[in-house]
Amino acid sequence: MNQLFWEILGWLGYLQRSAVVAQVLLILGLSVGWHLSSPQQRLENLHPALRLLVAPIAMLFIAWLIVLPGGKSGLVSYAGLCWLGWNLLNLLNQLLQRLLPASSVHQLESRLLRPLFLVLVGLNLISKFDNPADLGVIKLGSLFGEILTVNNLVVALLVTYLLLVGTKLPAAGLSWMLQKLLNCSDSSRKALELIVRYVVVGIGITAVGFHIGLNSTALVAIAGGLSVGLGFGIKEVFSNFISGIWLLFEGSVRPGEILMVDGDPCEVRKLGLRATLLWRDRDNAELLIPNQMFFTAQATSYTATDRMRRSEIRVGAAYRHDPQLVLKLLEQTALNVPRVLNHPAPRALQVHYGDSAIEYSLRYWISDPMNNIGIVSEVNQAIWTAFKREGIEIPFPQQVNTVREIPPFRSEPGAGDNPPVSLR
Amino acid sequence: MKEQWGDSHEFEDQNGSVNHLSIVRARLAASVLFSTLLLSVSACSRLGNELPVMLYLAMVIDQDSTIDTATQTDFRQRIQLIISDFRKIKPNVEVQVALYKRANLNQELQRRNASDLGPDLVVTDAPQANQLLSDGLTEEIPLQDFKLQQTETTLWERVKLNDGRITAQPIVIYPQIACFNRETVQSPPTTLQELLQQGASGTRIGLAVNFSEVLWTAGSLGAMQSLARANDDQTLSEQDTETLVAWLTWLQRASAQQNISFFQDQGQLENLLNEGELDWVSCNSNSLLRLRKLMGDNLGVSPLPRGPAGTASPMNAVRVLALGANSSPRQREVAVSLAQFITNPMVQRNLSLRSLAFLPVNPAVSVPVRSSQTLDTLVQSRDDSMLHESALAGLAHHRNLDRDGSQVLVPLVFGTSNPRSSLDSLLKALGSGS
Repeated sequence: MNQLFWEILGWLGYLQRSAVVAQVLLILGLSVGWHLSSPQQRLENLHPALRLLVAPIAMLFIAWLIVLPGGKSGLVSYAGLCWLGWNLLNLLNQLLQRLLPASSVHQLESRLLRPLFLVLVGLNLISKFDNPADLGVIKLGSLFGEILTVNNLVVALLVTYLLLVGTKLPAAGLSWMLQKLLNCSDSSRKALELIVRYVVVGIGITAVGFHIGLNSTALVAIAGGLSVGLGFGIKEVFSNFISGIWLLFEGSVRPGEILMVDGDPCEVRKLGLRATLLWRDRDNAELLIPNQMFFTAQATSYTATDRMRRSEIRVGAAYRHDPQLVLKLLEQTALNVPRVLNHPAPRALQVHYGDSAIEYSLRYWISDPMNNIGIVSEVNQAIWTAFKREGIEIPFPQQVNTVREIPPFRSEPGAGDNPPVSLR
Repeated sequence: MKEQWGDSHEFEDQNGSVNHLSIVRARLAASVLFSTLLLSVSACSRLGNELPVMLYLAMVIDQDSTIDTATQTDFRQRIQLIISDFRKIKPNVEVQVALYKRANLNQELQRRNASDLGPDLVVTDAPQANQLLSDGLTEEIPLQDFKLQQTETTLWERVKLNDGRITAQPIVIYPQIACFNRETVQSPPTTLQELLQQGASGTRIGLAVNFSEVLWTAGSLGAMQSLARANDDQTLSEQDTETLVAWLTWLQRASAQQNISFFQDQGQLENLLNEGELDWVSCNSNSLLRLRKLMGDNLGVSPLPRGPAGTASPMNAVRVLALGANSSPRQREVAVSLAQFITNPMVQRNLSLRSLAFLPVNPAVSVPVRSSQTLDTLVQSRDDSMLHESALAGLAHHRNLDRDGSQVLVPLVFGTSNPRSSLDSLLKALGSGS
């Protein structure tokens, strides 16, 4: 570690060279000057894409001017190229947004493209004053009896990062292919994607472990540590992780499934290592629920075997209407609502003789459980219109009170013949 | 309309204030930059003589090595041996070493020099140092600052370009010798005849097909002067031609023997010796440190066998120190001091004795050959080489000696070309590279 520290510190020695200092100052001056000169206003007539290229190309041009009389401007031209590359990533972003959803492009750019670009820029910069291959074999220490070098560490970190971040697209591609081959559902495809990712990440991290010197002795040591850890601090984490994998294989909580949470239908968006992310349509809230909860508690799903939901509306009609007519009208009304499925057919039932009305139940099926509340509204409106059209009354609560006889006035003993004071 | 005017004025005012603000910001930034520059310059001039001088040293690793932790540690220890002594006279010096593969050095220096970030010193072999100066990647040695007598006169020829510029300071000699496994080879062959006999009796012998690494046999068979004349584009006599054919015939016959094998280069030979696949190989003393670690006491060394026409003509490798092209005046001054320091008799002697792998370039240093058989072998190899030095120096300046020469030797040793036609190809290759 000391050697690496002194190696990096030693790079400052290049500032003993006036040409290097001049290049660094020029790069700083040009960058700061450009940002202070309000380029957006000055170049407002230029196409936004071209606007991005002006500053880097100007820097490259200045570098070329320095080289003409025999000067050294490698750093300046390199800074110009990096600036150009960075701005080109903005253009790439705009292009990708035409092909992929904005959120995916943002993730791809911020988690993969830009970090990779920075790593490449850094390595290339180092190669301008040192040899990265030589730097990479500097010994940092020992791990499980094996030498840990800068190369090993950087490769381990980079591969782990790429595994965690960069396997999403390939896994999605593979699961899409498997979906086509096996003809499975979308939620199964998402589950497959997650399983593929977990497997690739698992194998990759094991390979990284062996790369940095993990062996059977180390595995025993880690297993020992984990067993203690599982007993104390990381029990919940591990429990959630295992629950998540179990649920994936079981297929009850997969991305795309609809579950009832606190009486509201919620769509599973993501099954994470620790928690499941659900989306609630009612208020557009996202719920993070630990995987363990689904593993141990009862859950209601509308999508376990199919995505259909049976919905019900209760309505009352006045006693004077023929129930047969009302039942037929209700079924016909439901069939006319576009989002109500014809098969299974809607069914109306006479369920109760109420105080004010005969109660009917209309049961119908819909294809997307998340649309229930909207379809209920549509069916209710259709019933109201149909009842109005057919003259069927939905009675208000009513009560008929019958007075059989008015009780006579009686005189109290000792009251005499005088009427009460109030009647005088 | 009035309202529009009002808006327009407001817009102009806003614009004006924005412009004014940006001008103020720009001036502020310019003044900060200028002040920083002034401070840097003044501070540098004051501190310049107090700050340690950082020297950047690019070093080429051995042909058969790879850049790994062991190689890095080994090379840095070698440099540290020199620098720790150098600090006794120049205490304010730090050296940062970067290892490069020989094949990549030219390209890497081009990349570094383009930004003025090139090394101050380059440690490599003489042919590459010559190439680097020809390509403008290093600077010539200012001979007026150097003590020429501290370096063997003939070695200066190795680092001299046709226009007379000296490309580097020779620092150590790595003689070509024979390495063998003591377990299987009781007494190493001293003549080519013995070499063939031992091969016939079961000793597994390895030779390199790389031209400069098999050139030693030309001296033993009396072909060196003829090769030198061919390299100088002189007309060859009948006897020269016959001598060269005899040398090539010997190589082909040796290759036909069951236990004598040709391999690409000495790196392979050394690896096979270490793995027990070969018993006797030609090798470079540069690899002795590594082989000693791997083989321990089983490693034996001896001079290369002489032949009927005289001693072997090993093309001993010369490690040289070239001056980088981007140094600041202080860095250059210290780099020149270090280059001179390395040829100091005491340093040269210490280097040889500590490593037991190379010889000093300073003729005033006497190597204690009685104390070590390895040193004795190295000295004998150097003396053998000196007998052919003029011819070897000429060949060392050939631009693509190994590439062109090996293209001739490969078909010869594998029997697809006869010595006569190989000679024609060889003469053509030598003529084109001079």
